[in-house]
Amino acid sequence: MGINYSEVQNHVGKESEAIMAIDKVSKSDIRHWCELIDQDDTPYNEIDWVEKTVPPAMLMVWTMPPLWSPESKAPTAPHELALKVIDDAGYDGAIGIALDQEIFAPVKVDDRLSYTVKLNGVSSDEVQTNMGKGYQVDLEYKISNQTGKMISKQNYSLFKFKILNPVTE
Amino acid sequence: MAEEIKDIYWEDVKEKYDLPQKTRVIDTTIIAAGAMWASHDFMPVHHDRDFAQGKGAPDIFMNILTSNGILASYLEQWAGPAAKMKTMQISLQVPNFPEKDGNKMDMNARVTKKYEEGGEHLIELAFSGDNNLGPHIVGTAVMALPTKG
Amino acid sequence: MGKKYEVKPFNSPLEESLDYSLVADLVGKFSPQRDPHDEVSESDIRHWCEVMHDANPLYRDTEYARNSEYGGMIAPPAMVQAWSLGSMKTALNQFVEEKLAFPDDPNNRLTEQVVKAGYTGVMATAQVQTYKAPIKPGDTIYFKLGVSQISEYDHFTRQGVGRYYMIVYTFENQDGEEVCFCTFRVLVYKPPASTRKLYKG
Repeated sequence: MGINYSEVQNHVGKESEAIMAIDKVSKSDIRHWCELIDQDDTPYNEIDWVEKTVPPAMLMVWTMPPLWSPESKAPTAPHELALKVIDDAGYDGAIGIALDQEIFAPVKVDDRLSYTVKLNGVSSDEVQTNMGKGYQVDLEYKISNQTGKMISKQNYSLFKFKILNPVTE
Repeated sequence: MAEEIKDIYWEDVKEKYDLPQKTRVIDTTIIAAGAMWASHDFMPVHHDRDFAQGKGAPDIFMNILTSNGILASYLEQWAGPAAKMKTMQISLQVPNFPEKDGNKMDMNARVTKKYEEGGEHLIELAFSGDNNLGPHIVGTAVMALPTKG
Repeated sequence: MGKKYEVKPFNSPLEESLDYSLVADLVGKFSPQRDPHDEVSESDIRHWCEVMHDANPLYRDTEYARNSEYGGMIAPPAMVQAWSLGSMKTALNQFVEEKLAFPDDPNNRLTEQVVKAGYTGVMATAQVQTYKAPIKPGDTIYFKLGVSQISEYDHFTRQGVGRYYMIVYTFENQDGEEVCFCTFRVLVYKPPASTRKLYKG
């Protein structure tokens, strides 16, 4: 049982090519974030957008996959391929367990971000937790803006596990 | 696979032509994302199951903007990007509820009229979206189509 | 020649009905022009298209749209109202706390009177949107809404004894150009006694 560790190991230490964020950094996305996180519903025309920088905690927003896309995209990046091996072995539960963010420069409205993801590691043995048995996956995100300047480095760990009591109804 | 982009020309459309049917799965994600994320509608009956049930509904249900948007999109994508939506006229009947085994909405439309007006080449379409409870949305739309001329 | 039937005004004999004179002055009145909470953005257009499963390149492909007659990306016309719905806080205040942002707007004054008269059920029955000009990223979509019709007497409907009214919206961009005109027909009704316990409103 467990995952084919050597297959996963092939992808460890490898980094994806630069992936473009789907959206430019937009006033509306920032405002929606502030409304929910800061409970600040100041309308866009009362915000000083020259001064306003993107809340650093929001950076991962621009790395999120779309809800739907007309083009189907097979996994190609090392971390995607490794996660697929883990998913296919039945460890399809996922929960974020740690996020360290380093911020080097502010993000402004209309920036076009891109990012790379490196698979830093996968735990070699199954870990038993309250959620179930699974593996820890460590990813490193480097986010850059359109000038090529790296603006943030983030270490993100997630736990991929077999769901204990799946709803089968 | 991306769908091919193609335009339908006014000359090629006949009255009583039936558009190919399309079906959408109606689930919690699409109802909640349609309300909050796509149309900025935070009325809790569209995303908060407990709230909706407290108001006498069996579950959350789709907001009007999303229903209108899905049908507008169905028609526009059939006609192609050179078409222009002029009017959407809708009435709503049974709600779109999510269901565990997957509620589906079948969308159909028919060209009911083909005419010229104000220098534009127009078609009128009658359309409907039906779910497993019955008709959810019925309406008519007017679109301007490109010509070969 | 067929027989001509005359529609007779009906007021429920069993219950008090809405006194039309209380709301007559609202017909034809509009709210002040309202500002949106967001300007039109490419990201919001993407969100809309992903829910609608809309692959129209005018809404998502900058390069394609630049070479089109619009000279750049546009928003799906049916999305127009998304910019008129205010913030999450405004909505939750209204629907959970029942505190209206603009209680003096004609539509809200009408709602107050119909609820007072016992028409606690609400159902949207028809919406017509006429699209007049394209909406582009960076646009500001202002809107105002008013009341254009109120039925003067009660109607028997499947839902119960009720009244119809019509709300009208106009949407304008920052250049004062009307981008959409919308009518919204609403039925307010007295839920029959047997179903009333379902409604807390």
